[in-house]
Amino acid sequence: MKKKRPLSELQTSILGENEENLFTNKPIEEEESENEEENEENDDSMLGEEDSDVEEGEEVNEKSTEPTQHTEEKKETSEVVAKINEKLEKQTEDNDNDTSDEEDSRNTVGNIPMQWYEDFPHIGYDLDGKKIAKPIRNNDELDKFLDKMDNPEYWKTIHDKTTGRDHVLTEEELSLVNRVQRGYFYDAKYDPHEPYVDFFTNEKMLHPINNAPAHKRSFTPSLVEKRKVGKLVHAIKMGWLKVGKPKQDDEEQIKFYDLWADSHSELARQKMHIPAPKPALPGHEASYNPPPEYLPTQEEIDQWKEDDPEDRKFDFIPEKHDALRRVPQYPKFIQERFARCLDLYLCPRQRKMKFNVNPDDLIPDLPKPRDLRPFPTVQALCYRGHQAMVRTISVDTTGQWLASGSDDGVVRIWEVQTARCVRELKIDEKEAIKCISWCPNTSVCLLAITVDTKIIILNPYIGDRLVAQATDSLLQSYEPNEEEEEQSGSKSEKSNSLIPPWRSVETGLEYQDGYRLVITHPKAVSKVTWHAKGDYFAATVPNNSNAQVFLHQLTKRRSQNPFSKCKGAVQSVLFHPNRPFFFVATQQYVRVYNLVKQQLSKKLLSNAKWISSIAIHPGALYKHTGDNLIVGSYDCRLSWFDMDLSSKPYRTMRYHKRAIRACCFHRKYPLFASAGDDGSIVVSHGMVYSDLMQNPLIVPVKVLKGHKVDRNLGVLDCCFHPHQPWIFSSAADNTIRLFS
Amino acid sequence: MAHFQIKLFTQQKQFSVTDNTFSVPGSSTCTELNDLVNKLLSEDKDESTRSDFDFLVNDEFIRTSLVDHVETKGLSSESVIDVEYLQRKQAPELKHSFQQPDWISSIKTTEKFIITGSYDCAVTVWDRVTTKQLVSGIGHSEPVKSIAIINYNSDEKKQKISFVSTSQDQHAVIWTYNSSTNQLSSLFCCKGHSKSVECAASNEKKSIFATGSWDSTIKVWSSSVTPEEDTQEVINSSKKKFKSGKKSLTRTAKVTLSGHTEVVSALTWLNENEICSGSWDHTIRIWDIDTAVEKSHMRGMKSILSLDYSHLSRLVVTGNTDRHVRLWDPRSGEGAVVKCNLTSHIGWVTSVHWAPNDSHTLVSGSLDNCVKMWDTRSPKAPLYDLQAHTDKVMSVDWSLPDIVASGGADCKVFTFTVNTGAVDNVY
Repeated sequence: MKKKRPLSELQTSILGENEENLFTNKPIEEEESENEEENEENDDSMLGEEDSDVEEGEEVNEKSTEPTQHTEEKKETSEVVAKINEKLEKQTEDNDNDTSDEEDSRNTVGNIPMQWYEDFPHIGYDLDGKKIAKPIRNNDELDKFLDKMDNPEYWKTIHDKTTGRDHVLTEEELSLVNRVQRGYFYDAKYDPHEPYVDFFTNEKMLHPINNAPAHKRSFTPSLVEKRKVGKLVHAIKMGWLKVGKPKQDDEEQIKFYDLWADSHSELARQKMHIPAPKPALPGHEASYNPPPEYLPTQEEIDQWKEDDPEDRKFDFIPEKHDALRRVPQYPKFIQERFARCLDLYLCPRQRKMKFNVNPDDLIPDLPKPRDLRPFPTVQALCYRGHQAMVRTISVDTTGQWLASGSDDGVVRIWEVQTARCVRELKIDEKEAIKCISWCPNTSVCLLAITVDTKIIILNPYIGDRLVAQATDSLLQSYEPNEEEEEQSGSKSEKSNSLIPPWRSVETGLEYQDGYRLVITHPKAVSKVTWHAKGDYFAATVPNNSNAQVFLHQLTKRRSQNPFSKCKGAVQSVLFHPNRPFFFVATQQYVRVYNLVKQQLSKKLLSNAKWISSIAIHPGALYKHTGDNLIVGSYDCRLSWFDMDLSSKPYRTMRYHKRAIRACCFHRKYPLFASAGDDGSIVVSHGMVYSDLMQNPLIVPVKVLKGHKVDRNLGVLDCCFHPHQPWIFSSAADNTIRLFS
Repeated sequence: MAHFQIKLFTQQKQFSVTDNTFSVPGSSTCTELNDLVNKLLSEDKDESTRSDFDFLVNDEFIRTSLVDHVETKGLSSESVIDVEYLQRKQAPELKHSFQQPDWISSIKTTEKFIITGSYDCAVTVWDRVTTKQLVSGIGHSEPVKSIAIINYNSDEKKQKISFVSTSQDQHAVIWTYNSSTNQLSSLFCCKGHSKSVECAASNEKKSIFATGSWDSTIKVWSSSVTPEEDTQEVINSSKKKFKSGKKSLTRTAKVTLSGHTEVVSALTWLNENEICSGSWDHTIRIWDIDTAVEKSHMRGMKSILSLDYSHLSRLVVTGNTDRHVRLWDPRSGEGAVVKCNLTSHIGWVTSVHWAPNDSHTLVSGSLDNCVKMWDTRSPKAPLYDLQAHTDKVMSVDWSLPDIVASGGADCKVFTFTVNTGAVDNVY
């Protein structure tokens, strides 16, 4: 039988451990998060060390105990023996109840120290009061030793003091002893980790738990009340009780509230009453006849005398007196009284204001995750085949194919529906595929791959044949514009080394593999990002002093370095889907450039130490919404920026335990996700309204787990399916998974 | 424990018992009821043959105890409960398994042959009885995605079979196999789709067939095996797509139906001129071929991977991108169109097929490596789990009453024999 999981538990499982984060207010969260971060780092390091210490310690212990294991065990077992004896007795009792003929030889002395009977020939009395004689035993050490050597059951033989006999432990009892020694539960059948059944949900339900109809009593008029009312009526009739006060003529006078009226009154004094601080209560040590452990030794008395009065534990020396009348006069009485008066006189006169806040009011009113469907919930497919960690994935615009690049330089293209690998390309022997990206233009079939210093534009010849052929003819139809060449030539004299050269592949093995264009950069390229229209793409080249970003144009085969100077190390770049904005994320800031005006239009402060990834809300493509941006960082935080609101994050979310590697938006559904090194993907509902006055609604809906964490690396990339509410994730465990 | 008044009846005449009311404890399960019926039968007939029965209350199988079932169905425990019983379907037995070089995307069975389409671009014809590979033909340049039988000539001497295969190379190819000469020849290449062709279905009369594609259109083609006016000759040597080296003709679509917004993943014919299509855009649409318009559509919550219609139960069954098998009533236009959810799989249901001679049973194959046989009257638990595959099941087929075939990503075809003896007596 499967137990029903209660709603609350389900919710926690959905939200995971992030529920608390969800319910805290934003400003608090931000403040805390910084502190927590520091603490956590410290904690982590501390924990690591401790762990190692403990392990070593355990090993040492084990070694030291090994030679004396038998004796140790026996000692420990002796504690358990009592329990077993009780059990045995119960068993015998049961037996006795069944068969009255058998002689009852139970010892009835009770739970007393058995050494009391050491000197007697008997060990106790049976039920009839007759003496039970001690069984004859060899107490010789030699016999014991021989027994130890010869008897294979010696190790599990115990001496029962109440009967004086030896008892060989049964398997059942041995397992019991083992459990108790290990600190497990006494009863083997008891499962402390049973699934918890929450009978009452924490949510407010529509219908009450107890729907019993109201008692009949509640409808009949009460007799007691009737009598009381009768008495009152009688009193009014008799004139004993006046009903309604006679109205006074105060109405004409305007009433003013006298603010200071009762400032000196008794009531005011009582209102302002602050209870006196209580003196510390005397302990055992203050007794005239304290228990011996409270009496100090001579050393302690000397120490006490040497110490400063502030350092002393007590301000007196506990003394023992035979009787109360022998207690001498307390010498410090006056001093202590004076100190107490000072305490009362100098005690802080402060009133603490208490707020009565309903805790429910502090929790933001968020919709339940189940009302925000669809979103990915379970793993549907696992794409196996890569031999190294899969650093990057990309889904083509139709949603039929998935491209992935792994650390051993292999690019694979998969059929999404069946997890079938349809193409495998060995791009490079040594270098890892850093980034892979399908061209978002539906009328061409191109895949941009970054490997080492190169960006390779590949035509994988997949999907629509006509499109693939059209792509080839488009690329072949390129004719270099001479004027531009000249211009670029004249320019290149100045900065020849800066502009990366394009190489077009037209024949040979590479062409058959699908290579069409190769752009070689001065340093290793980390990321490539397409513009939504599929003509321009941007490359990020970190560690390249001033030229860290290159903009490439596919149709004109032109490259340019838009920034003469780059502040900070560029982590990631992004095009705005339909406006001429360009986002450049450095380690701590996201700068927004206007490409038409060629100027910096905004600078976003992420509050993160090291940004890992950025993604822009696609809403601007479909309807008039403001620009929203999510920024994931290596310090576990995901920040949501509403660009119209401020240059600081609208909300910061800390749902990951470790660094965030990737974040992404869904193109159609109001979903976004972040993936991190803790091997989990957090899917959140992020609804952006076309009404600019309404803030975005952000609700975390699901934590997807399944990837294994390998060498401290978890999920490395994630992306949504373009049409379905599915998410793909690639991880260091060489797999790609599809959650639907 | 409460006792229930039950009345037993059956539609299987040979197992009928006297019309009495019995009082049985509420805790009794199928086994106890089975004993009861067997005892009654043995009293009547003085025979010692024992047969297993399944019990239905309110058209749903009793799978737990009687009291649980009655409570979940919300029946009164005071009145007499009518319990129908019928002979239990025997478990399908694994008959054959044979290996192919690559993943099997589609499988179809006929009386003599099994035809598979696989990811190595080939269609293969197997002998059903001896499980020998008769012939294999490559007519596509990309993996074959589906197969549909067009015509089957069961004449003893001149056995000829024609079928259509669709592929990721955007074409559908019409094949004929002649058993007397053991020749598989590709007759026509149906060109028109602009993306990979995912599914195909042939109508009852075998005159036309429809294909659904990733370009979100459905195209209807003529399935005649003789050249028609609209075919053009194409010399193969120029394209080198067909390794057979023979002449192959191109055929163009009769009708194109567009309306789906995403890939059309499954097709089935409701009758001579109505086709039902399932798509990743979560809709099932019913089209009229004569007028080439959409007649109605049903909207679900999940993408549809497979679809089948039964003429006996008049229900459409779908396999979706979740773990449920859903039953739809295509005639009810609005409201709750999902009649029933069959839930037991733990992966996407890639393939479904109704039983050809039974209005209640169907098979489904899923990504969880499992093929399950269902009775629609038992939605919580399948009748049988056919566990043979070691990887994703891609296709199941139950075209013949006594054989269930399945193929999957472990490159294996499994056939199971189904004992239909008792069922034949009823329907």
